Amino acid sequence: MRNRLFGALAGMVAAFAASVAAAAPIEIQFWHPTLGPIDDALKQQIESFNNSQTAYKVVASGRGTYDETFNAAIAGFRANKSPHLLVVIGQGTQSMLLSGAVYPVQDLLAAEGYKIDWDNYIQPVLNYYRTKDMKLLSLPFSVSTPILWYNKDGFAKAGLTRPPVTWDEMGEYLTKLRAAGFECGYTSGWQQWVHVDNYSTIHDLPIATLHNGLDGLAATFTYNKTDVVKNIARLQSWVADGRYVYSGRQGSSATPAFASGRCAMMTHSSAVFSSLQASAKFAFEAAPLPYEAGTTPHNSLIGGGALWVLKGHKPEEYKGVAAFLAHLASPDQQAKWHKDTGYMPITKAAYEKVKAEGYYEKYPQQEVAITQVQRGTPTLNTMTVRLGNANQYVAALEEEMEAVWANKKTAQQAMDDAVRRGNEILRRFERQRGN
Amino acid sequence: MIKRVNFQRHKPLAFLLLAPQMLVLAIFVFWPAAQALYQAFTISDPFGQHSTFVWFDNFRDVLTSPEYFNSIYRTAIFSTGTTASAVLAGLGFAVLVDRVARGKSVYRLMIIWPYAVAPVLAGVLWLFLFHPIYGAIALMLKQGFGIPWNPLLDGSDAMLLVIVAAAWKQVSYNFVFFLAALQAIPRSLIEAAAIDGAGPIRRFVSIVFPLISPTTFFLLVINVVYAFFDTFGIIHALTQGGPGGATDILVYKVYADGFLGLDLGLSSAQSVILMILVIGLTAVQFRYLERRVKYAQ
Repeated sequence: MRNRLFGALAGMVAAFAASVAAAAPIEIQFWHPTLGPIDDALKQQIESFNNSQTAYKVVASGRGTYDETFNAAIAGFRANKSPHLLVVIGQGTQSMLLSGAVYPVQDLLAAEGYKIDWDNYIQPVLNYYRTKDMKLLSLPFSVSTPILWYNKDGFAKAGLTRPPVTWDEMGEYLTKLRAAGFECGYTSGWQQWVHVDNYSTIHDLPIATLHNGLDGLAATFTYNKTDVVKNIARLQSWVADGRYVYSGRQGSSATPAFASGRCAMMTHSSAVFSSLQASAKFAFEAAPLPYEAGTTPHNSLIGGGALWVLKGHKPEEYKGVAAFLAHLASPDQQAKWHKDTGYMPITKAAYEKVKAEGYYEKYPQQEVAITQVQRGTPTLNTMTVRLGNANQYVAALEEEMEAVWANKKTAQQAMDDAVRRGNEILRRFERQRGN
Repeated sequence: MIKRVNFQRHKPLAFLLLAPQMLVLAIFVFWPAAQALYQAFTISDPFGQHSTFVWFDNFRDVLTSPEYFNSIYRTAIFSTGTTASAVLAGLGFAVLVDRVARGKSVYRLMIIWPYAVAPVLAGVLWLFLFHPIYGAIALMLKQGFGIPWNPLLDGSDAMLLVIVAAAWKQVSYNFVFFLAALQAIPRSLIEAAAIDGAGPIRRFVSIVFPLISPTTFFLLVINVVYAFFDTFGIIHALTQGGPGGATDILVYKVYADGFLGLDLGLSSAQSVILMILVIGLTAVQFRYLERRVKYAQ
């Protein structure tokens, strides 16, 4: 024990001496949510940057959940102790944009002399984090999109050979799977993201006015007037006969419902791949989200964290921040990140590289998200959802969806109520920003 | 005898001695409370870029929403349920352990244990056991007893679940206090009653319960405050106020709008209302319940 302690002390002294001798590198503070099993992948990314040069050192600090990280950053900002880099969930984009605390990533990289051809990036991934004049605000980081996961063994038992293409076809599949012995036909993680947001983008339907809020804060929700209502009503009928079983809000409860083999199908983030690999004891496959018969599907909507650069630091530190971001965006790093975590690569080069390695022949599940976000041509309805106070309006919407599954409201009533409550929340967001 | 010191002639010294405590109170209690009160009258963004004084707009927004009145109703059920079950279970366990002759310390340890579990962890634990699709206890209820258990869609099931989870944690606390109170009762009193022919139930009703009434009253106040203020962690982990607002109690709304939603004005207005409610409730408890409490001489 004493020896070990002495060894550690000696090591620290040596490290200190070395750092003094070599002129201490400039530290870059990087706050991120703790992401559980993939924290290792993040650590490796940062180490590879720190080892690749001596001028800068990125210091990462895990701050709990996305919400806790965001709260810590606000406290830091108010006390003039912001980190250089901060990971914020995609739904917080509007809050960040209006915070007065942000140095847009595209401006930073341009100012530091990086000539980046943004066309080489996967456009629907960037679009989510862009302004209406297509300036990139933050670098996509932990990005995924919902896809359809299915139990291949279960499909074989029910005599099904390929995934369903349309939602109505999925309904027929579920009847067969129920007959084949599945107590739960289908469940979903992030039900609001899948059945309101992504349902709308895939069918090129507006979620809110002003291009889902991209053009201004005065946007109001409109999804109670679109086919979303039809979609929710169909799910309600599926709840009645066990084809759809509600497994709870957000994402964590759906995964075990599918991985335990109780539910035959699941719509969930593409990033659950690694956790399914670890826990599912059957063959599972992935397919793009279904769409309505007779329509041409558009891109799906992504979600997840992005890296924001914060204002108020020294010019030489921003040089390091830019170098780090460029390092993260390199094809090698992107390819490794994608394979390690199940998150999407953000550049076409990284995607091509992984494809050329033959990775998708072994893991076709990992390619589904990338092709799905590139279906059709992006429109102003499918680009992003740029609305404030997302935590609150999503909670209200989930509450109303639960009222539908419990048969307390019709789909139309619930969506009307969710829109009314959501609009009140959006108006408060406007007032919070001094409008 | 209680030692008394008279500061009449040394007032500055008295204030000097009080100062450290007052400073701590001022920094950690009065200042934040005043901030919350002020924020309740403003609408601001979380980064502090804009702040507008809006008089009673936040209160109006809170008090005109139908969801808020649902929340008050749910809070009444939740608090009554949690307090009653936590106090009764704590008392029950304490009475039983008090009578145990052997292995008392083992029972004691086992019952105190849950208090050491973090609320969020407790919530996750309960969710995992009671999840309708893969929860072990849920499956037992459904397949073994034919009970259609589904806290994700049935509001009463969800309410039952959060009450039990919230009370489970508090039982340990109540148990410790009740056990101490029971052990403080002179054995001679109980023995005298027994000799007079009073059975265990009679002894409990006529002697034991009146003697521990100060403890019961204290725990009642503490448990009500716990149920009103300290349970958002469990709600967040278990139901997040769902399904359809069935467990959306007031303090969870404060937490959700403030910490998750970052609408500080709305959240502060709600916490001011909640504070007024709890102060009122505690005053009522002292006014009407405390009369029945018999403090020792």
